[in-house]
Amino acid sequence: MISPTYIPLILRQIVRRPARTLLTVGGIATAMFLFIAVQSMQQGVALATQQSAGDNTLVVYREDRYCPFTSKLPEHYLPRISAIAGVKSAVPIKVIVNNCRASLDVVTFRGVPSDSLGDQLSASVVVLEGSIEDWRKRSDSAILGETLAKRRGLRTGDRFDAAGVVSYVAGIVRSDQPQDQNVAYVHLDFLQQTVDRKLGIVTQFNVKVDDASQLESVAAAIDAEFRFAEQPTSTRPEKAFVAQAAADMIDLIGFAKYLGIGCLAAVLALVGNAILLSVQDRIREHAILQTLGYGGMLIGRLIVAEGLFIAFIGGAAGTFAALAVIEWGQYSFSIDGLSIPIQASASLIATGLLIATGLGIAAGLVPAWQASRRTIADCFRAV
Amino acid sequence: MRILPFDYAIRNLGRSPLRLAMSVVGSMLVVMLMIAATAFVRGMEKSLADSGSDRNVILLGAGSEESIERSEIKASVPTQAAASLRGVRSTLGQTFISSEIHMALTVGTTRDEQSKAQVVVRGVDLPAFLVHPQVRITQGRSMNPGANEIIVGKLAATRLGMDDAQLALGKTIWFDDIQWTIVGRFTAPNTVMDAEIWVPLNDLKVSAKRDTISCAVLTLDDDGEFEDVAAFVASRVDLELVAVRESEYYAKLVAFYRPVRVMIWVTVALIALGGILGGLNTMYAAFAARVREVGMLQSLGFARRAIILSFMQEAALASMAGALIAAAASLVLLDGVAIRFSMGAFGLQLDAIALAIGLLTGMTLGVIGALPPAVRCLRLPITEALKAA
Amino acid sequence: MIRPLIDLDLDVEAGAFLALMGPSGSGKTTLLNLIAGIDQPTHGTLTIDGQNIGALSRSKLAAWRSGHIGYVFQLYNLVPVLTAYENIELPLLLHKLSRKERHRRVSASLEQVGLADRHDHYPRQLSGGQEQRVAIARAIVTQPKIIVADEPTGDLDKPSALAIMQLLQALNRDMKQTLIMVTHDPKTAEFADLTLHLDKGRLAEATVLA
Repeated sequence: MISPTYIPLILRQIVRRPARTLLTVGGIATAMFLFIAVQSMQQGVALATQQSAGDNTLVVYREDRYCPFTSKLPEHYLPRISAIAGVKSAVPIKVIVNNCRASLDVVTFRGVPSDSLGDQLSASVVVLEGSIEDWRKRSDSAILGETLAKRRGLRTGDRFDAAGVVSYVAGIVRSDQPQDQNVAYVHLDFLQQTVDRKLGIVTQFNVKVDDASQLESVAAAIDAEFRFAEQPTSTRPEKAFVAQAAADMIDLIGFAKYLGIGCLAAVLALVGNAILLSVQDRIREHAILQTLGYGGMLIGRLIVAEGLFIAFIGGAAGTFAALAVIEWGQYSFSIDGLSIPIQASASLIATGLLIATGLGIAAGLVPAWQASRRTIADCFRAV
Repeated sequence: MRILPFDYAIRNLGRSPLRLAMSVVGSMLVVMLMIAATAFVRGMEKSLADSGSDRNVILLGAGSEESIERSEIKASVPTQAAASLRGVRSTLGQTFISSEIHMALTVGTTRDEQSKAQVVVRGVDLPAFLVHPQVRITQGRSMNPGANEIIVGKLAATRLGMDDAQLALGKTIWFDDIQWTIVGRFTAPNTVMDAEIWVPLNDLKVSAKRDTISCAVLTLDDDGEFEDVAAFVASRVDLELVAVRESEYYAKLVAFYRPVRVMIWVTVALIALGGILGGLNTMYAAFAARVREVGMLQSLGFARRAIILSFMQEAALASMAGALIAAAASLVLLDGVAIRFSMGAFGLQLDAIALAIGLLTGMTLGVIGALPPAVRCLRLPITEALKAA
Repeated sequence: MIRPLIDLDLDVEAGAFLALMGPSGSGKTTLLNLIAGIDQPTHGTLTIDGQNIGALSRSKLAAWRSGHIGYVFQLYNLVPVLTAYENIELPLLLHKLSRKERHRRVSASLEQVGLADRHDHYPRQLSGGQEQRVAIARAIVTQPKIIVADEPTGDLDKPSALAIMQLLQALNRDMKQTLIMVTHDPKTAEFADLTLHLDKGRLAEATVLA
């Protein structure tokens, strides 16, 4: 597109007009920051709610209920669930949240039987601090997801007090499952005693099936088993369950998609505006270049290249700033005890940079075309 | 100090129609966004703040102070409280103590088809209308117990993502596997109750298969003190209660949503920043082209400050034009629009404050947009300025 | 219809120093711009060095300019964000030269105009005379066949103007480059070998310096 010989010239034009360049780069960085933030939320939603081929977890919940507090299933359902064909394992879980409403700082406890923690955590979980063995030793101990620990500034050995539950941090883990990252795992009986003052009631059962393709059929079988029981169930794949429960939040995040598009439009407008203004200011300069022998098309390409560089620099600044904030903040939305993480993947970063650069090129096209068509005489007349 | 005529600023706006259009549109977008965000946050805060009265006290299960939906207390608590507490308001023999169940449920228009949203269903008895005087029935009548009758709030349809017509009088909805008939519609403006469905307490106990209630809400009379209620709660450890002023409970909810509010403001600030940066660029270009003119004005005897003032007038005119358009558009498009949010719904509050903030933003954009470029433009000594291209 | 030049028939020998004079509107700048290839004739042929440049397309004309013409403006027209060195280097970027070769030529041009010690100064840091010298260095760095100068001393004080004309004269003599200059000042025109007077687009008279 443009010979490397001209790159120093283009960069000088950008760097030696610091005020204008900084303004444009700043504007683009701001817009791209927002864009990446919005897209990260969308990615988080997708991660938490869209099923992938290998998903093999079902959630058995009280029918017609979503707030964990209102779903009360008898623990004695467990053997009946385990006996259903296709069920590999079933873990009873009690969920306590400090608030049923959606926000960024909900604390979720999951009580699991002592020997089932391994089943419950994803196979790829990494223990960052402490150990699961330590957790087993104390009845009031908790294993925290990395995100929750960071958000509350907790380390192994700390006491953790929330939602009326006081526990002792025995370990911190990192998991690729968004639900695990934001949760405190405690002993089931401990939670039941603390909250219900009695045993025997759980919120849900997490069921793993032998074969991922059997998810729907096993779910139907479980619901059929308890259709006429005192607490009828509603069984769904875990991600579908999250999608339903968090529908509100997902709506809001989906609306933010328009904000993302708006950001891209803003980048286009900002770069376009900046290039337009700079081309207007440099009409005489372009005339000089033409007298020196620079052809109209070459001048056009120089303008487009300048737009490209500015957009790339601004895009990179905004993208990496967003990445830094997301990594540092470890934000996630919680609703009804479920988590929707805000994450920026490598592909999103690459996409952001690519889009910013593309917009930079696009924004420069029309001013470049106009400049390339101007005759020398027109240029000198214009100033 | 001799200032430049205001006319000068106005005429300069017409120098470049394209630039003027860009400034006005840019300002309009940013201001409209500011107004919308303010209306959103104020609507959300107001609906929570107005929901709670200073004279009401909520008795909740210990450990559930943050969320009534999580609370469980014995059904006998209101009776015991009425017997033991003095200072509770009463009229014509009816004590102002309301037994309530608050549950978030999914509802549907048919047994099988469920709406995807949840709504707060509140099981209540007659005292609820005394304790919550904001609630007024606007159509139909109150519900009768034992007949599967309900009344719905004005924003309940918004909450459920349904057409208002689907929740008209006489229509039915399903939850907990039971068909309920809508016999009345109520309104409780700027409170969370506006988006709720009210059911007779016992009917909800039966359908939800629970024998406990969520809370008891009582109204203190003029002599009543919160401390009396607190003392009652402390003395009856067996009941495992906690007492919270209703206004405090909702204030805590407002605080709970702080991260969301912060996020909204951060977003708005970022967009405004982008707008300012773009505007500054435009202004720099506009003023840079007038360096020689500025030198000439100074040579005539106008002080630098007078010229800066004129530039700022120009920029402020353009951005205020955009701000006024934004304010008008917002009033038409946004006022009262109902937003569904986290177990409730509220209306955007486009009040004087939201509009004032928007207009102030417009003014600020204009001033900030003009100041640095104007100062830069006037940096040159007069002789240099006169020679400038 | 305005005809800036009418029936102009002109032969210029290679290596000549030619001055064009005439009142305002006489067409001298138009003629200069035609010769420099930044404007094109509506009638007639314009042949330079055997090439009919009137028939060239815009892009070919641009390429021809970069190889054949060095232009010196009245208002210097240096790029404000480039140093003296970088301004002079600009036309060389169009040619396939190594960085080393470009450096050699730019340094040589700077020496010729006596500004080697100000190579890293920006235009705003130079006096009018110095800016014009940089412009001249830029014009000669590609070793063009023809240097055209449009009122090169119009914006300078007497001492600076004198210095510039002496420089141009020296360049013409030493480098044998054809130099065509527009001026309204008879004193400046005295530096040229031949002065042509234009009036209302026509050639009025020619004066030869003895």
